[in-house]
Order: sequence, then C-alpha cells, then structure tokens
Amino acid sequence: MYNRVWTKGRLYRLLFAIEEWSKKRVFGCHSCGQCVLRSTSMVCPQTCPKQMRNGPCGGSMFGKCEVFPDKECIWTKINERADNPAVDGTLGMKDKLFNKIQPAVDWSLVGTSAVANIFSKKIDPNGAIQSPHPVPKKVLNDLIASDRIVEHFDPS
Amino acid sequence: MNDTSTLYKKLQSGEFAITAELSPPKAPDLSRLDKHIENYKVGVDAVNILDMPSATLRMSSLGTAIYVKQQGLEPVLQMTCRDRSKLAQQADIIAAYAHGIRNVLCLTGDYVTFGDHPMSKPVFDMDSTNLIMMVNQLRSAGRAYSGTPIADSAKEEPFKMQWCIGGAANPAGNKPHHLARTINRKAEAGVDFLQTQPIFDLEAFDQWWTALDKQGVHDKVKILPGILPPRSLRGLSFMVEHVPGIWVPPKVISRIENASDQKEEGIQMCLEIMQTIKQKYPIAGFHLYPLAWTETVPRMLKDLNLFPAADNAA
Ligand code: SF4
Repeated sequence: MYNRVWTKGRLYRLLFAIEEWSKKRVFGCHSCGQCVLRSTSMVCPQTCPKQMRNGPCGGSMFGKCEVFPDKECIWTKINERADNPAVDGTLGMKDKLFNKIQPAVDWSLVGTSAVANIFSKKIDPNGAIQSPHPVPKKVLNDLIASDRIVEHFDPS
Repeated sequence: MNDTSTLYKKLQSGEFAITAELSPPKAPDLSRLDKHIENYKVGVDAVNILDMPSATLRMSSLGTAIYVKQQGLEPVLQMTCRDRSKLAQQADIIAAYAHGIRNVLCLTGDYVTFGDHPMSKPVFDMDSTNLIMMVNQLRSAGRAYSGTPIADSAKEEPFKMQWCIGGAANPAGNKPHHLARTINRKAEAGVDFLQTQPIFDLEAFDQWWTALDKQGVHDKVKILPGILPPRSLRGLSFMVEHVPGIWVPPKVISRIENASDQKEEGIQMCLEIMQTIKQKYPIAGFHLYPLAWTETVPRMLKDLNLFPAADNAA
C-alpha cells in the first residue's frame, strides 16, 4: 500500500521512524497517525482485524477474537483494563468507553506521525481528529437547535 | 417522496414489532425469494435483507431490497462495513432511499476469511457505531460524512433522508457491563432499534438486561431479541461451529438431541423463550432468524397470538 510518509522530508521521516519503531514494539502500532491509545486503555485498536474503535464486534466470544480464535479480543483487554481503578483513574477510561465515540480513521492521516499531528492540531492528545466527521446525535441536535450547523460544517 | 418507515412508526408508538431475515440468492433469479416473501407477508413488519452473510458471495442487499419492496414487503437494508468505503456506503444509502427503502441496519460485518472469498480485501473503513452516526447525520442534518450538504446545487436545502436506523447486539459471550458500554455508544450515535443475536440462554440474557437496566441504557433504544428455531441437531451444531457470535448452552443441544421430533422441539423451545422474554422484559418486538425455514414463521406468530387478529380467523 502506498505510504504517505514518502511524501515528507528527510527529518520528518527520521523522527517518524523513531516514533513508529518504538510504538510498534510496545503497542503493535500501525501508524494510523491519529493515536487513540489514551482512549483505548493503551491498546492499539488498529491491531483488531476489523479495526473496531468503539467496542467489540458481534463475533467476540468469551474474550476470544472471532477471526483468530487463539488470540484475545482486543476489546476484552481494553474493557478489562478500564475496570482497573488505576487505569480508570489516570485515563478516565470508564467514562470514555461509555460515552465517547471514536470517529472512524481519517485515511488522509494514515502513515503520518501522530506526535506531529498533535503539534499541528490535526488531532488532539486523546486522538480525536479535527478533520470533518459525523458527530453524536446529541451534539448534532444541539448544533441544529442553535442554528450553528452551517457554521460547524462550512467554516469560512 | 414517499412516507417514512412503518417499522419506525410502530416502534415509536410502542406497538409490538416483528422483523425477520431474508438471504438474497446467489443466482440472478429473484423469483426464488417469492415463497419466502409470501410466508412473511402476514405478521412480519419488516424483513432484513442480508449483506453477504458470513462473507459469502450473494446478490447485493440493495438490489434484493428493491425487489422485496416492489413485492409489497417492507425491507430493512443491511449494510456492513466489510466491503465498502465511506463513499461507496453513502452512495448505496442514497440509492436505497431513492427506491423507497426507509430502514437501514448498520453492521460491522463478518470477516472475509469466513466466506468463500478469503482473498478479498477487508475494507472496514469504519465500524458499525460510526456507520450509525453517519446515517444519523444524513437524517437530521442532510450532511454527508465529510459535512458536504446532500443537495445538487448551493441554493437547494440539504435533503434530509428519513431513515429508521438499526443496529445489532450480542447479549452473550462477554461481560454484561462491558457490552452495555458498546450499546450506550450506539445509542449516543443515533440508533433507533437493536436486534440481538439468537437467544438460547435466558440466564445470559437476564444478566445482560440487568446490566443495561442498571446503567440506564435500554430506555434509549428499542430492543428486539433474536429468535432462531433450530430445524435439527445437525443444523444447530453447524451454526455453533461456523457462524460467529452465537452461544448455545449445552442443555439446549441435549434437549434437541434427545427429542423424538427435533423440528417440533425446536419450535416449542423458541416459543417458550419468546413467551418468557415477552412477559419479563419491556421489549419492542422480536427478530426472527428462520434461515430457509420461513414456513414456521406464520405458525410461531399464531401460537404466540402475535398474528394480526383479522388473519387469525381465517
Ligand atoms: S473479536 Fe475483537 S479483536 Fe476480533 S475482530 Fe472482533 S472486535 Fe476485533
């Protein structure tokens, strides 16, 4: 697959290589460029065969993955870790998993550095992309009610 | 532009709703569905048109849903995230709406390795929760995924498609309070109803329901528990082994195994499950998985007194 990193300068590629190498070793990072580790109990959701970002798929059974039954479902790991008071305390995992919806992957960021994207405000430190994407029902209804819908979608 | 979905109206008014499943044919011959459509016409409010179940090649759900609609049955278009990107999904959703389809069921989809094309590319451009959120945005704001208006010119008001949005839930297999988190996110995304995987284990169902109740989740969404009448022990064991996400406790397997008439026992068991669930929990209806055995549907609905009164007399 074409990797966007080859469109970048040498220094970027060097720093990116270091970020990618270390995150790959520790988390199995797939360089999606919009790191949500802080919202998924530090388990990379891109390591799920279906890249589920908002909870297990319907095939997750007894902690095992539907696709590779000898592997643990990543969502069992995410949810179990969130139940741990220490993890919940530092990352606020229970609230995030209950209330916060992670948007789908923005493919224009795949293969770029998540750290650089935080600095350039393409994502926030929790991994929320700043590029356009659908918003939850309540947020949307509030936008409509307050007549800010055009402003939200066509800022100019 | 014609009206909103009847399923939606029924769910909103609190009337008991029945949905069922229909698998598109593989060969390009839609008349093969006619006998199933006939079996569904009385008593079933809307029928899910599957989107290549178990990742096995079939006619597209959109093409089949258009036919089913023409035959006078209300379709629920199943949409998985397995084969289509964000663009392709929205293109199909707009086409479906233009053909009068008003219900969409947002699923992630079985992985490609389960089916007959394991070499195909698994797309998964988004997950089911994001798909729900996308359809909800098309509905309430008339805006596409990227925020662009659904309109052909800048002067036109964005078109708001009145979708009835469904999703799926699996009450077994994981800790109930973990499952409640996922369901709450689907509700926040904008889902109207959830159909569950087939229920065989009432204990697991009860634990799941209690967890939803405790966290105040089930008030936010209509729930239709899934019911699958097993035709024989062989069919049941095949499903347990090959269909992801179905939990059948050993006592159900032995009950079917020891029955003299396995077919009848399967139906009886389902009727018992349905009766118990209907009495105990404030559900919105049932979702039936008769597979190819659609003849049993009118009979099951009749036995449960869910058949429309006018047809009961006949
Ligand atoms: S079972 Fe878990 S890890 Fe496997 S595909 Fe489903 S969500 Fe991903």
